[in-house]
Amino acid sequence: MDGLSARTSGLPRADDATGIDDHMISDHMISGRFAGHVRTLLRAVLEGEGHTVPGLRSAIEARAATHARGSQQVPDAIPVALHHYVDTVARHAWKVTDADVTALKQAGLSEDAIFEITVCAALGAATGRLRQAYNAMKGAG
Amino acid sequence: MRLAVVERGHTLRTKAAMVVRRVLSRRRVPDIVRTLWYRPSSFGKPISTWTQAVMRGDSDWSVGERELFAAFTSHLNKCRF
Repeated sequence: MDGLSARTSGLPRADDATGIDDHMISDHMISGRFAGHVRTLLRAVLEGEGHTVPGLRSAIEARAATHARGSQQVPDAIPVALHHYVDTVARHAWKVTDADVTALKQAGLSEDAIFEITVCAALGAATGRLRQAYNAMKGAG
Repeated sequence: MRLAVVERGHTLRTKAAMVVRRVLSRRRVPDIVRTLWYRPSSFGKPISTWTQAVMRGDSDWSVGERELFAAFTSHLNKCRF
């Protein structure tokens, strides 16, 4: 599958070399006492060494986060072949089947790449929901 | 389906730790541990540090209350952990 390997670098980076952009983290997540932990985790997952390019990982995280917020406007910056898997992990991970994983392998993805895609989608679902929760508390306060 | 790399693709040092854990607990090392211990620097360690701070750090909520929140969330996600 083109555009996924760290060696072929088919996708642009979603952020520059300075690290995770603030737009990925809500105001409360930035100022809250767990902000450092959030940033560290995002950097490790999205920018650390891997078998997929960082730009793809960021795009997957962003798409999953959008799902988690219930938006109908889902970014489509990732290959179409990944849409079903990423969306399933983000919205209802328990519905992932062996066939879903097999399809990714047959598309040429290594297990390490699938691991990274899964982690990015799950992380996006988590940060999207966390952002929703902070926004809800802000609205109630 | 379990990814083979997450099931048994750990470093030798981690594999040794898993053997010790399996012997002491007399149980298969749980999938959550296998996942966190696979390539820990890029996922397992930072998320474990965050989880520890949230679940065991200073809070207005007791540890038991936080565990209840986590269990309820897992229930919604149809996850038994």
